[in-house]
Amino acid sequence: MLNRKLWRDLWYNKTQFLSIFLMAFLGLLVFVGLDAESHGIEKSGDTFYEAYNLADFWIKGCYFTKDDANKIMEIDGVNQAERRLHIEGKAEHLHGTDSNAQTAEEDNEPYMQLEFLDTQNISQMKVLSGEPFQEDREGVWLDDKFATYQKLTVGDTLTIKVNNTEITEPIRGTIIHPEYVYYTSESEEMVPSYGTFGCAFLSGKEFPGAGNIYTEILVDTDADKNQEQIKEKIKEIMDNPDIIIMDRTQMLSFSTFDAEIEQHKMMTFMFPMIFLLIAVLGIITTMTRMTANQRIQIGTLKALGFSRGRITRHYMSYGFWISTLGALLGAVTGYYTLPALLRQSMQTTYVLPVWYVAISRNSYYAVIIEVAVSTWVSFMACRKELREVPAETLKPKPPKNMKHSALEKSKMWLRMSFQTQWNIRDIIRNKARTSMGIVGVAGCTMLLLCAFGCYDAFQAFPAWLYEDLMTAKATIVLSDSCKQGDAEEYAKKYKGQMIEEEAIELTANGKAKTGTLTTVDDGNLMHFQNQDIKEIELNQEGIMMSAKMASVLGVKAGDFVKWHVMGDDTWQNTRITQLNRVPSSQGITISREQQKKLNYDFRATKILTNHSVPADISDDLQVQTLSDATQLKQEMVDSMKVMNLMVVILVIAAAVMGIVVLHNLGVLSFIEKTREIATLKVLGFRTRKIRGILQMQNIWVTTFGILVGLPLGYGFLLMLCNSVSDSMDIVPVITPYSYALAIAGTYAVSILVNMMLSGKVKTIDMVDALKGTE
Amino acid sequence: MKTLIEFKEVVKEYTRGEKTFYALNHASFQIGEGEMVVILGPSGAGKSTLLNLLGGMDNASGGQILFDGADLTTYSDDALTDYRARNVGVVFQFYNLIPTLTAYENVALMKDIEEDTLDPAEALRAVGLEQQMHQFPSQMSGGEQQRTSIARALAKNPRLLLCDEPTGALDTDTGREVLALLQQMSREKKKTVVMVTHNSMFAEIATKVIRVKNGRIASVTENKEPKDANEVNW
Repeated sequence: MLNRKLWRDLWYNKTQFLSIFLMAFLGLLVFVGLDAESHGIEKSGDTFYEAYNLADFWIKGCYFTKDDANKIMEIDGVNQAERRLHIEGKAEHLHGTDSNAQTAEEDNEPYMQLEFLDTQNISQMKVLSGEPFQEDREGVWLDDKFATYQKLTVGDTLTIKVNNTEITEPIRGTIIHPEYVYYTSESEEMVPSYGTFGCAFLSGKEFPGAGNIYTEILVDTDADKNQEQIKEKIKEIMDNPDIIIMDRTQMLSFSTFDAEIEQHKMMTFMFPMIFLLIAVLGIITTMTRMTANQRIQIGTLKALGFSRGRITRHYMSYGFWISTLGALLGAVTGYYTLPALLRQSMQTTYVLPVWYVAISRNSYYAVIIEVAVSTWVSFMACRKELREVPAETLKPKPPKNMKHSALEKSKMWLRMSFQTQWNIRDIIRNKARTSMGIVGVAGCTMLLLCAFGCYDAFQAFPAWLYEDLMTAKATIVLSDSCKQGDAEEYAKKYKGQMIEEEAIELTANGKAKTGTLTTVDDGNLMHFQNQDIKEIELNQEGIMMSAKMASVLGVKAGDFVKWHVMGDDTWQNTRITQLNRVPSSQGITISREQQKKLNYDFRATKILTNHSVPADISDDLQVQTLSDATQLKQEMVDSMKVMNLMVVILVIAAAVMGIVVLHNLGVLSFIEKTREIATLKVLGFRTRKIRGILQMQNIWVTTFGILVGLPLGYGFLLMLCNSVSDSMDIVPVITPYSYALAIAGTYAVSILVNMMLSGKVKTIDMVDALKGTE
Repeated sequence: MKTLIEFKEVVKEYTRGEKTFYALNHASFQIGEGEMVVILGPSGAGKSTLLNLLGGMDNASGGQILFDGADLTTYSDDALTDYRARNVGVVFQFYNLIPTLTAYENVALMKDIEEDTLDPAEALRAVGLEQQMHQFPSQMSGGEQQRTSIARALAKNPRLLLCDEPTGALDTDTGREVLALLQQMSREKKKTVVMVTHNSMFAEIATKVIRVKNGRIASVTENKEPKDANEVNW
């Protein structure tokens, strides 16, 4: 029978319990949804890497003989080692996607990453169509997305220009590859437009040119063995200062995807915290009120002979059932909706064979913790009423000992209006209810600000990159075969600014990181900004380090950092004189003079220009691509559109949270104040006046909540921006417009709820409300 | 007649600030099994304290309370709960029904603590409520609610039925009906009924009247020929 009481009580207090239910529901929906998604993509990656034996180390830097690979294979802990050549090239004579003539023309000579394989035991390709790779077979195994986009199928032929030579190969298969889960054609691109560039795998025998071609050794190790020791051992055996050994975390594909997973995992924990906090506050206020109201009932049950444990269990079961119901439904809903929703944008960025949805142990823990906390909070709420002997509990509660607060004793108090006094007293005497309101409103403001801030940050990103930091209309990307003399010619012809970009490895504080060394020749097309986003001049002394890189390495301006160019073993130890902020390709920037002082020869890899460059320049052997800033910017703006989904989700979450919390609160305080309101009515206060009094408190709580929520929202956004990835730096800009929108949005929610509730004042029956209890 | 309850020098004191109040001051009396006892006294005299101690709902500060020979003052909380669940049925002035449960469910509630209870329908029939069985407390009159409360108290077949001003919230006719019901329980079912009231007219229906004044037992009188509840007027 107590269970029937339970369900009827739940039904009679449905608004309050519904809000607790909703918060538990939303909290677990987001948690389990994101957990299933992040853990799922982690599993998707790991399974792919495992099944296709992604290499553990990549050794680069010189030509490697078969003997080298054999020597490495003998190291304890190494399973396999094999040689490969990685080189960039172009696809030629493509007809392109004939449905879109313009695209076809632009994609006439798409950029390609080529891998010539000696054998294929490590980092194997997954063949989606066609035949499996064979070392002795001529032909090309082509990136599936590229093939689809370029309308190429197995049996067609593909002409590739590599090392100034064209080779024409039949397409044997379309594939995806564990090293190409994420890859780009140019470093500035955030969301790659796969298909407009591609990767291809061929047998080493197909490479034009004679002699040893392999400049890379892939190493597969036993995961149980100490990886550092293996790395040291390889260094020892190869005994060549020019080689560098990269592990998975230094590979673009692996590390970008890994950072993405980490970011999703962090979000998994951040958002549900707010909902859980509110669910707990909701249970505290609701259960305290309910047990206080049911005091006589508790006394009766005791008098009838119900044991304390029995009654405690009864009241704990309110929190238990509501949260269990909310948590489980939320978990199931989250599992089936969020991963599918987020998957769409993930699939445009990452190439994986199977996308799993899989929850980690954390999901189970989250449900258990949510239910345990809710049940415990219910227990705490009813414990008070149960401590007394039944004879005491059967009596109505003696009125609280009202103490005057310091404020009420001050002179200021007397000068306040009645409604101000009334509201201040009400707030002081209902601290739990008030703090729940503030937390709810703050959460609402925080999510709104965060949503609009995300929108702002992503809106500003392309403009920051293509209007503030780089003011060139076009970029000529030079090919490997371009001599410095040719580069100078181009620069002169198009009045361009030459840039050299090299991959480097940096170490400081025991941390090693790969990055980009950018050497800037004279010119005014590259700009730099300090940490306050103010333009600065590149110092001639020392080096300029990107702020993100500095924070990853844990260094600041004035510190020394060691670095060397990949493939060159000369380590530099230079002082960081400036920090700058740059959205992508984190690393260091130096001037051409400074580079000379460090004994490097300048060899341009890019030319920035504001002059019009003919499109057919990319036919030149020295030119890899010509990219147009406006077009790159547009592509980036388009790719940002997926972020709008997140903004919409955040705004909805904020509104739901605000409405639920404030409505719950309003109903609660209304029920508690019924007698007071009835008294005011009897005394002759007009309904409008009473509404005004209630509205006033609402506005105070809302205003205070907003004041708390704004800095929290900024902090939240900062955390989100910082978590993006080590190679990207997003500046959390929030425009005044967004601040205004977040504030107005919160007030709108607050006023909406108040309108929903204010009708109730009229419904109070004075006589009924003032009659005795029960 | 067997003695069911014996109060020996029972003291109940409250401390408010520095002052000590005696709600019950060295009270001693005996109640036999099957008696219909009325405890009389003005408000604040200590009647309710007496009833609470009898029902194991409060702890005494001194003395002994013997129920069937066992001393309740030595009982732990759990033992007292057990005692209430097995032996005591309580009828409150304001009925104290669970508002979210129907009459039937309020009585059936007792099944949650005691296996061996009367069938709720039968208990309700015994108090004349077969028609209203599935109504909620808010849909019943005061008399009906009080009868439900009596049915609930009787359902677990207790030896002792405690009633705190059972007619206090009822009109005369309804009150009389409730009294008659209680008397019937004592006479026919051999229940020991202890009723607390400030209405001296009820003394006429009791077999024993205990008068309380300022926390002391003023007098204990036996009534050899109690009146029928239907004959009482107030």
